[in-house]
Formats: sequence, structure tokens, C-alpha cells
Amino acid sequence: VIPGSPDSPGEADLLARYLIGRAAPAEVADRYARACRVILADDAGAEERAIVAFSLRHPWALGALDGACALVRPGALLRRRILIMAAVLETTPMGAALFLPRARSTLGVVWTVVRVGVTAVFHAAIGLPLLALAQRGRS
Amino acid sequence: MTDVIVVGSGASAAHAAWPLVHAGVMVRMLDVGNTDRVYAPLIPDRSFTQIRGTDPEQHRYFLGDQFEGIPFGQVRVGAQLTPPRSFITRGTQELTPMDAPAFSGMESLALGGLAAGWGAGVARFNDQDLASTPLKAKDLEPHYRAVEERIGVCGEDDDLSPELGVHEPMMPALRPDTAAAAILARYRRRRTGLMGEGFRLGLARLAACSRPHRERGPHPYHDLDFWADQRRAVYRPRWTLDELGARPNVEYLASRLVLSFREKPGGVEIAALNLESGQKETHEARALVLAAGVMGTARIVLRSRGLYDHPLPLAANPYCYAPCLNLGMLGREPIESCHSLSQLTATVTPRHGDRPAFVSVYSYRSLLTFKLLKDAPLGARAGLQMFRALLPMMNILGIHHADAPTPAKSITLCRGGTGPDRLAVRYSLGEEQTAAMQRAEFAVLRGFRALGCYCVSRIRPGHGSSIHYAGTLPMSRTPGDLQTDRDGRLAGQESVVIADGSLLPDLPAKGLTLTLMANADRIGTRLAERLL
Repeated sequence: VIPGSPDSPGEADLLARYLIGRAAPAEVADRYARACRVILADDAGAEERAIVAFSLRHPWALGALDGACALVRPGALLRRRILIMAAVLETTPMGAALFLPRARSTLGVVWTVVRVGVTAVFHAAIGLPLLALAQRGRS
Repeated sequence: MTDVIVVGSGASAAHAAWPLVHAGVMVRMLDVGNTDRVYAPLIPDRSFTQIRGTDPEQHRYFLGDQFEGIPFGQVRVGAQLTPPRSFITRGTQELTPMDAPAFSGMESLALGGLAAGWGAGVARFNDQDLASTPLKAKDLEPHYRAVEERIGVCGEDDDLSPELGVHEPMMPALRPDTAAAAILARYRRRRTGLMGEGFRLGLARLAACSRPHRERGPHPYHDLDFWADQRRAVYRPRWTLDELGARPNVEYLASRLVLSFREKPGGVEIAALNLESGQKETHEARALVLAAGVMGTARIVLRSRGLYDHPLPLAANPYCYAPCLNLGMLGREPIESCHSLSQLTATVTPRHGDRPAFVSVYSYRSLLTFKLLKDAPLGARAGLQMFRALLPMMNILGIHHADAPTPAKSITLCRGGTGPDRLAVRYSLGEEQTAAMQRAEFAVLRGFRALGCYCVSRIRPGHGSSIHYAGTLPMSRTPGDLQTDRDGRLAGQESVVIADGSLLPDLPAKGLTLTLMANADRIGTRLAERLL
């Protein structure tokens, strides 16, 4: 197990907590690691691995790094790992309800859009310099 | 020797075989016939939301055992193919490879062909749509009726009827979901003005059973149509093949890849590869019906004639999709039980004399939310919150445009060296056609804005992604080389008949599958008359 590998302890937990606010059960962690091995080529560059390793060392930075990657590096390894975890979580009875569309009042929709928009701007503002720092770091 | 060999098992093959078999002709069908034996048995006969909350095995069919349902990385499938539908393209890269860097061509070696994943939208062609063929709509009329009864069509006689025809018999339309009902209600209030601008809207006409029909259906409204063929409610060619299989004069041979044919006195000899034994084998018949799909039929004809590096014309409906926010859904609760096929259909005839555009309106839920996160310029968590709130209001417009062959659109068979022959596809659009498409899309989006649907982006998934192909061996009143007569007979060949989309010289924007089936039924009927 090496840092920045999907088998590294805590990575599945970290991503699950980030996405749905709960730890990943063992079967989800196992499926996530298997999916990463099947889907992702083992040829990610040093910068990509450094970003993943940085987010593992600094879990508080994950949301900001993900938001920044969505803007400027949509194919980043970190983002792919997060999306794979999203796919794995969405297809479990535990996670499904947290991914299904949810009807809201008009005010609820407007509030969600505004809140998410403000959060996204905040994350991007913090995430872009963090990303520059993370990709120069060690993996 | 049998009477007729039919190549393929898709929409055209099944309906070309039907009149032959029912006329008493001995028919042998040669087909690769891939099926899904892995995922289909896993999917419970319950609704999408029930499954999501209870089935611990759902990841197997939603993501696939090799995670082929996660659409990025090294594992590639067609964007429209879910893991339970991935059998539709299985084996094509190895057996029927294509060199098409600018064309997302799709072929099928599946039982039921590409129609095994058909969206089931039906439309009749009118005289204008058939103007480039030697046919009139009245020539197809009895065959449309025969096929519509066979496959089961549901819909309403509404504003779309002048454009799409009236299907007979027609079951009541499938119940629209809340978002579609909101759009339709607005349209009914504004229809006079919109129709004056060439915009017509109605419930989708679908090859699906809203009530029991031929031991199929009714549709269970489980919102799983992209994943399973529950209760056989949505038409697939294999339902017709199952019915044909009960007759004594039809023989279906799977695991056969037809390579070429050679005419000889009194009939035709067909060379096929038996994929189980790996051996080549020969079949003989009085007549051959080629219905292997546009690409597959072109391969067989060109290889049989030794015409390598010889371009054939090609048409393929240009396609784009446009996610829209449907403000009519603000604050409204979506209904749980719904179908995932096209909810509504619109036809839009722009000014400037451009050809009409054809629009299918979908709601988005059962294709899973994580697939949307990939393309959002938001972190995944923020994207998830946003999509959960907005998905009940999201409609996807699938916009199809007409197409005709030009020198910039062609397919060519190239020798494969030690491997199988490869099909090279060239396809690009001219400036004039691109401008006409833009005008049509503006007219479409203007019409939907008037109905409270605001487009958030337009996505072009690439040439060929409509999976509607035609024009390679076109019907002509005076057929030349590599063309066919009005009965599908290949010029210069006595015993070889084409019965698939290859015959249509060009494509209107509306879906072609119903017309392919009706024309195949017509060609099978003519051939039976000739043979008996």
C-alpha cells in the first residue's frame, strides 16, 4: 500500500465522508479500490499523485481541491477517484437515497442554488492556490 | 438448399423474415446473436426507487462487473449503453472493426441488432420524406399497418399527426411524467401561436404497450427502460423472432458471421464464419436478404464484389442534446412511477425552407446522478447538492437533423492484413448544412423557451452518435452499380435483396426505425411473391 493508491488506509473513508458525510463500509471501500484498479490507468503523473497525497494528508482541503480541479483540471486523478467513489456509493442501498433527486419548494431550489454557488466560489478561491501548492508537493 | 437466407436479426431482418415465413417460404436466419445472460436475470421486477433502496446487488447491473458503467477511463462503451445493454456492441471491435476518427459509428452483432437498445420512438415517413426514393407513402401504408400491429404502438392522434402520421391501431399513450405534463399543458395554452411558427408538440409515439398486446406489457412504469426489458413492454426485434421461432419453416442459426456471397445458377452461396468452431462454412439458398445493418451490409456487399477502397455514400442524422431547466416544475413533486423513454416529441419546421428538426424530450433520473457530476464545473459534493435540487426540473432535448450524402461522407472497406477487413468512415458537414442546423436549433430552443424550458447548454456527442445511418446502397428508379431497385434488389444480382437502412438515399430528421421495419416487410412480401 502506497500513499496515493486507492488501497491506502482511510482514502475510501475520506472520500465517502466528503460526499455523503458517512464513513465507507468495508464492502464499499473494497469495491472502490477494485473499480480504481480496473478503470484508472496506473500511469498518473507525479503532479496528479501529489494532489491526491496532499488531500489525504490534509482532509480539510479536499472540497477546495476538488472544486478547483473541476474548474481547471477536470480530468485530474483526484477528481476521477472522487467520481468513482460517487458511483460506488450511489449504487448501494445506503447511499442511493442521498443521490436521488429531491423535490423542493421554489424557495428551497433558489436557496440551494445560491448556497452551492457561493460555496463553489469560496472553494475555488481557496482551492486554486492550494492546487498550485499541492501539485508541487511530494506524493 | 433453403429458400431464403436472411442475414441479421435486427429491426429490418425480423420484419423482412416475417412475411416470408408466413407465406410458407423456408427461411434460415444467420446471425452472430450476442445476448446478455449476466445482468438481465439480476434486475428485479420492481421500480427504480424500490430497487435503489433495497437491492445490495444493484451495483452489478448499474455499474457492471468490470465497472463499464462508469463512463471514463480505459473502459469504453457507447455513451448510450448501460451495462445490461453492452452486449449490443460486444465483439464488434474484434470482428467488424471500424476506422472512424471523426465518426462515432456503432454496429451490433447482438440478437435484435441495434434495436435491442432502441429508444422506441416511431414516426411514419410521408411523401416528402420519401422524395428521394422510388416509393410513395401509399406504397408503405399497408406495411406500416402490419408492422404497427406486430410491434404495438402507443400514442395520441394530436398535433403531430400531420407530420408523423396516424398509427393504426394505436394504444393509448404512456402516461407522461410530471415535467412532461407541465410542458404539454403550457403548449396547449399556446399552441396556435407556436404552430404558426412551425412548432408542434405531443406525447411521444412509442413502440411500447400501454395495455396487454401479443403477450407483452402493459408497461410497468418502473423507470428502468435503459436497463431492462421488463414485461417485454417495449418492442425489441427478439419478440418477433420468438414468434417466428414457433413456426416450422424458420431456422435461426446463431454464432454465424456472414462474410460474403456468390451468385450461382438458381441461387446464391453464402460464406460465413462459425464463431463457435472457428471454421468457415457455406450456406445455399434461392435468395439472400441482407439486413445486417447499414455498416454490416456494406461490408458484405463490398467484400463479395472485391470492391476494396471503393467509397459508398453515407447519411447519418446529425444529433445534439440540450439539457433544459423546466421552470414549470418549480415547487412541484415529480411522480414516482414513470417510464424513461422519450416523454414528448416535437417537430420544428424552421423558416428559410430548411428541413424540419425532430426533437425527443426526456427526463433524467434513472441514468444515475454521478454521471452528471463529471461534467459540472463544481466540486462533486456541491454538484451533487445542485443536481439533487435541479434534476426534477431538468429535461433533455434530443435534437435530430435531416441528412443527405455528400462527397465528404462515405464508407470504404479496407483490407485488414492479418486481421478482419476494416471499415473506414469519412464524415464531415458542410458550412451550409451546419448553418441550417444552427437555425433549426435556435427555432427549437425558442419554442421550448415559450414553454418555460431554458436550455443550459448544447452538447454535440459527435458525428454518427444518432446511430441512424443510411444511403450506402440506395433505392433508385434507374439503379446503377451498387444501387437497388424499388424492391431492394441489388443491381446486377438476381438473387440478392437488401432490406435495411442501406436502401434509404437520405434521412429526414424523424426516427427511421419504423420505416425500416415497414420497408423490410414490403421487401419480404415482394420476395415471397416472386419465389412462390
